Amino acid sequence: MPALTKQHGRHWIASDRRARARLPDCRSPGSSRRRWFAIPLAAALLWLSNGAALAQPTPAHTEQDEEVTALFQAVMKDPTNVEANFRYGEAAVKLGNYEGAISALERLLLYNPNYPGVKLQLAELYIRLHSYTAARAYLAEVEKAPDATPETHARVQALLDEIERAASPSKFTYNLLGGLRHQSNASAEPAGSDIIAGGVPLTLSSISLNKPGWDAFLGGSLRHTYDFGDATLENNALVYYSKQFRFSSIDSAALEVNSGPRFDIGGSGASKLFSLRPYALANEVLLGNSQFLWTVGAGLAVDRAITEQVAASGFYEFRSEHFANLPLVSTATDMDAGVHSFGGNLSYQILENGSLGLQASYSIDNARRSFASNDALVLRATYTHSFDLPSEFGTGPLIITPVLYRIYSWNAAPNPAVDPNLTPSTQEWRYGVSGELGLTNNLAVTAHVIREATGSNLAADRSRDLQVIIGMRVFY
Amino acid sequence: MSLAAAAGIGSANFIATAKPQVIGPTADRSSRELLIGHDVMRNERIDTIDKGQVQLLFADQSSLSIAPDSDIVINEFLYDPQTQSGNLSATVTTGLFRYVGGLISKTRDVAFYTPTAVVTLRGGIIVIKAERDARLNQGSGGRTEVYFLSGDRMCVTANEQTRCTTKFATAITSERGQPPSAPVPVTTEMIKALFSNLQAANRGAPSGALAQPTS
Repeated sequence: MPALTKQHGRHWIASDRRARARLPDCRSPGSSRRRWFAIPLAAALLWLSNGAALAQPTPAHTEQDEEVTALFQAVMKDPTNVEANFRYGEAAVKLGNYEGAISALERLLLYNPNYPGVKLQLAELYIRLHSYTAARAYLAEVEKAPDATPETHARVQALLDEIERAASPSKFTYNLLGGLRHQSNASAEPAGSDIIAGGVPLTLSSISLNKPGWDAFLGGSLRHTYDFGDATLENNALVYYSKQFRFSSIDSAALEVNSGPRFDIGGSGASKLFSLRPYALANEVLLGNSQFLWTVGAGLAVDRAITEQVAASGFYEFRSEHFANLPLVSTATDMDAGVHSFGGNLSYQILENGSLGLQASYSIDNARRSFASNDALVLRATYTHSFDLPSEFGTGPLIITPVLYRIYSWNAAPNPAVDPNLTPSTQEWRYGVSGELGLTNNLAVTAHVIREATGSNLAADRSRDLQVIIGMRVFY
Repeated sequence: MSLAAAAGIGSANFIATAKPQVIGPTADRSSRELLIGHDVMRNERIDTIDKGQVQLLFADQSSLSIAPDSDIVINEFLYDPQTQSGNLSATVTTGLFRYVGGLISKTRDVAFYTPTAVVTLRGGIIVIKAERDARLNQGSGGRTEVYFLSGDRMCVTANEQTRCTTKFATAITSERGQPPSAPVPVTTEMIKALFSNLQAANRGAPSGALAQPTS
């Protein structure tokens, strides 16, 4: 199964199709697929263009742009108009133009340094710009104001705490998803694979039973970064556990860690040309509560913002994978392999609340046994739209993401135990939609419906599956 | 001739929002009071005396706040709203200034010439503090401190050497005849003092005394 994963601060693609070839007890090895990653032509051209063609495009004038421009014109006509300045500032913030809002509010201070709440708002805007010293300067003024209420003091303290956390060179973030899933063809495939990072549980997804079943799952990621000034050390840990209600033999658990520094090349911050991250990785996977796979590897990732709306990334990765034979997969060690993979990702914000993602990946899996070796190509397209709900709902936003995969794999040789004259190849469609409704700033309810249809020149490899997932996501 | 006319653009390119006691000499060097809504000319000198303060509001949504006892010349402001690009350069003689970047500085550097250095900014917010050297003729010496509060990059060039910073809340100093200093962190108290001088009441100006806009 390919998976778009949020890893190292960007989306990655991973494919596990090759694993099917490695599970002769479950399905034909001929269905295995490799994990090559192909960079789309568009992404390559954008990258090679060095952004020059897109660096200063004729700006798109969205409805919100026009609203801000109109409000700014109102300010230009009457810069002393308090309401006009506030309205312009609010609209500018919605566009992410925090400087414009700061300009408007500081203009008000030019006339009256005691406009209620203005300095507190300025502090919040400087925080959004990550300009914490300037934010502290305004907070200090708010705190010492004689008319500051207990609520104001509490808000000041909350913002100071936020600054303390944000300004620290050491930062933690986590993301936890748990829930229930029903599959029409129960498998060890991880639930919510789009949030399960790179390759760990994905290897299991080909283990399916052709029977419907329920499972409870828990997946999560923990990320730690430490800013050294010239570079940032990024460490990620990813965990997954699935407990089947009927088929305990495909209970699965996985842990993957990766670590590596990130360097800005050609500048720093938003002005950098690109960022580069070499990293090392390792993982451990259990199947049916027994050790099944361990992996070590390394990779190189590169990210580049081409314009404010367009970003590209690419990577190369090598994994050395070591399987253990289990009753369910008695010849798993045939799949011991060195896997080379590379890929590209292009994201484009095409609407104010909507972004398009295009990914391609290709992998070469050189297994110990030639019939277990394979190549795989994974193409993925997504569109994510965020809907702001009316404030009286008390929830939101609602994020809807349709997703479409096309996956090809080609085995290197026939499996003599299955069909000595047929080299398997497969083609898979995978499509569905996921939705997430924010309940609080750190909690959301999620639902996914994903349909899979795999065709193959080997009858045993043809399959269909429908997954329905509901869960809760906690993040910080 | 207004800047708009000079630039061949059909609308006013920037206006000034100001408190009284701000003097902007006209082309014939006769002083006039800048009121809110006034067009400001190209090569316009803005000299805030005593308690006068001004904020220039530019058509690209950037602004320049000018503290009392400051002197600056806007050499050029050009802005094309269609492409959201243009140019801004100014010569600072003395005083305290806060520039909040707009659409121009998102795509190209804006430049401030001080008596001791050239300051360029890409995006973001800076504060410039320029001091004359009392022993020297006006504008020929002194010291410049530039505070980088946000944005992509700020550079200071002096004595044929350039120093840049991308770290917020750092300052670069330039003394006459010397290369610019390395960026050094600034404290909250320093920023607070700078901001305080850019607010009205701290200089005793009449709060809320808003002038009416001109046409």
